[in-house]
Amino acid sequence: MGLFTALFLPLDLFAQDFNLEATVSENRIFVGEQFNLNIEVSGSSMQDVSLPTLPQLSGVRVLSSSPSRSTSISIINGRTTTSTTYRFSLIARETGVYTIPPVSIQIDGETRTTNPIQIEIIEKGNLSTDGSQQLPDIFLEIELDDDNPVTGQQIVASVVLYFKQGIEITSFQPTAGWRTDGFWKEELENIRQPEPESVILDGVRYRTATLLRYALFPSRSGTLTLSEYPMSVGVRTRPERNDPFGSFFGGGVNQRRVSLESEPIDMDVKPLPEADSNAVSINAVGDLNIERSLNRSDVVTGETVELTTTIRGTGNVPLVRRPIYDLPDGLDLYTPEESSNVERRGLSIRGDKNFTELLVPRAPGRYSIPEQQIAVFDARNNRYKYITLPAVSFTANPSSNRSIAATSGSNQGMPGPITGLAVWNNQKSTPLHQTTLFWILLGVPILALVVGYLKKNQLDRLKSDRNYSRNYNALEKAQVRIEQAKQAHESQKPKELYNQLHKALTGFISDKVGLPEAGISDSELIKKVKEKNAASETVKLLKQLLDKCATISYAPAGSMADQQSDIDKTERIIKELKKLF
Amino acid sequence: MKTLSTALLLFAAALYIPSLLFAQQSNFEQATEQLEKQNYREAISQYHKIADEGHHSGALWFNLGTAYTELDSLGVAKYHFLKSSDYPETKADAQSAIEYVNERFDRRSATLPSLPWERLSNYLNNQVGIPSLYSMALIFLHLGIAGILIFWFYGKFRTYSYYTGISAVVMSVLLFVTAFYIQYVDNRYGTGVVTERQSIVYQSPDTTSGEISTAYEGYTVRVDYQKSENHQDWIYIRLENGMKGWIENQAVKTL
Repeated sequence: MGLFTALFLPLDLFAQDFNLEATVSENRIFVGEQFNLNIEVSGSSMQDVSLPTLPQLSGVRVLSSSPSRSTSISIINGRTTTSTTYRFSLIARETGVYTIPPVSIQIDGETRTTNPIQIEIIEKGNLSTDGSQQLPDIFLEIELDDDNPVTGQQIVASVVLYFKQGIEITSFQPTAGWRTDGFWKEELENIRQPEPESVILDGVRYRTATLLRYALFPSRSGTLTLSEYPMSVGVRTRPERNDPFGSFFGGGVNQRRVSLESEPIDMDVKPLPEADSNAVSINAVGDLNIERSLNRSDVVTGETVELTTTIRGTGNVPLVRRPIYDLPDGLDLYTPEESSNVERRGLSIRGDKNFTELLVPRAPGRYSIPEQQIAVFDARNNRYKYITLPAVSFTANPSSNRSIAATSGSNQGMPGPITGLAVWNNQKSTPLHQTTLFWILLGVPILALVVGYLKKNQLDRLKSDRNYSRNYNALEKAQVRIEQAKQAHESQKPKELYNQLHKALTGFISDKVGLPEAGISDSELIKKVKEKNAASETVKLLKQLLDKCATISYAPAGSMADQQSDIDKTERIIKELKKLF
Repeated sequence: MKTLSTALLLFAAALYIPSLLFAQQSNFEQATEQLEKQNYREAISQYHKIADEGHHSGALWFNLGTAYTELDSLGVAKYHFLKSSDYPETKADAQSAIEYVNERFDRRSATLPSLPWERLSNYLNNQVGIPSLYSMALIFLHLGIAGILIFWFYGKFRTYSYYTGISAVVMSVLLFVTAFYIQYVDNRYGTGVVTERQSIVYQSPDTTSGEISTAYEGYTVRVDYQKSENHQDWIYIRLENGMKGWIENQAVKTL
């Protein structure tokens, strides 16, 4: 430590008469140790020198971005030389070999840079090249009483200062920046006057003093890190050779402030073991007692009952969660209130925490909150302690002067119950589309439409298609002619009768087959009938009748009975032919 | 003697038959009396007994909702108020009660505005009604077909009957399609209310599947009956914020 190594590296021998140098107070530094970076500008003709600008530095932290400045003037052989030194205070953070990049400075309007400087940051005790450990003259450490705690367990972190003989500590002041992520931190009672003790570290006598103590409660499991603890310490030293704090001019007592940082600490925090499944876990760790009580045993519905749970003792009181009870139905639970009171006594945190739950019974009856076990972890014995909270109960009585209507009325917007005659619906009505009537009402018009369409088509065809019209009316026309034949029979006009029968038969066949109405011989008609696969009996009868009709003008007409028989035969033949066409 | 016995029989019948007819009213009044005395559980039991016998009324559902509200079972209360709001005589009171109950829920779902055709469908279903739509469709169908038949067979009114008939048939088809669609939507989808404090909505009907959201007590959900019918313990729902997923059916009461 006493070694003062400086790099005297003249950068440029400019035409101008000035010299720029960058030096460090140490080039091998312990982690957490403070050292200086000096930028010296000297010359006889400098007009304007700006503040040097520090580049981004690795492995170190700049304690103050604005450097301290000192100027000296010397006159040698009548020549005046001005020397200005800018001093930056740095603190080593991480081990390794680092390079302080060139520092730029404006001299008479031109930018000049220093040469880079290499430094080495080493762990405490690794300074010696012969393998023996060496420690810095003064350093800071965080000491834990347990570095492998469980979640919620209190650990005490002591801030301990080590310093060599010959160094006196005049004051100390923690500076901001100690990060304790994942911990709830509480500063313990201050040590009024730290008492230094003498210890020997690696064969060197040191004095040590515990400056501050903190109670830390890890709030989660896993690897948690306590960052570097920063502290500003006022020291007074007797100048020695190689004393970094010694005055350059020597002699007397040197007093100054140094910034120290402890090394960061990684801590492996174990999770709390699983508690019994019947017990409620409230994250309680320590020597804690738990009580539960109701403020009233008889209430009227709508009134409030306070259920208070008190956790008292030594441990992680502020971190304890509200126990969740199995509350009976019919209770309104309003936002629980909690209050805590923490005392710092010696190295422990003790106090009490109260959870007050406001319960409002909605209906009369006996409400019982069942017995409940609460798990509290005893870190010293590494096991759970189960505290049984006895069942508590209260009675809610109906309000004598308050009806539900009044209750509801007090709740704006909530109508009271409906009294009196209710309108009853005993069965759901069948949907309309599932009723027969619906399908009838749907089917009838559709059917009418279909029928109408067919009829319309037929009428149109009868009008436009002559053959279809003849075919359609053939039977009717034949029947008319048979009727006329019957009238002729009654009037005893045999020729007229057979003429009508002939017309009826030939007209029917020609209308059905689509032959011309005139000019077709009987034999052609018979041929058409045969083509329709008519029965031979029918064809034979048809031929006989047609022959008789053709020859009646030249032959006797026959009896009235014969004539009637021929009418009947004609009707029968038409009936048979109707089946064919 | 015979006349006297007949008269007594008729008298007994005259007394007995109305008591049978109005038994539910009497039970309802007894239950309401229990409700007013703040014996909520007893009142609920009696109301449910009436409902189990097949007697339904807006007042019955409303008072059940009131009883459940007093017992702080707000999800179940909302379910009964929603049922009550289907009855014209209790609709206004039920809607006020629903608003009141909604205000008391710890969590309320964000509501995605419904799509225009959903609003139209709801409006037609609630304000017009499916039977009315079907009835109107039938009337237009009859009118239209009459117009067409007149057009075909009576030349005197051809012009008027043609346009009237076609228009009426088109209108009828539109009304049938609308009624059918609303009927389909009504049959396929229903309304449900989450009655458990909270329940997870999953991607598929399986508790090991991905979680989509959490439905809290009082959330109104749209239940897809068609999709849910093959899963006994699960129902497929759409939350008011538009998210869809599966929820265990004991968490939701469907109307």
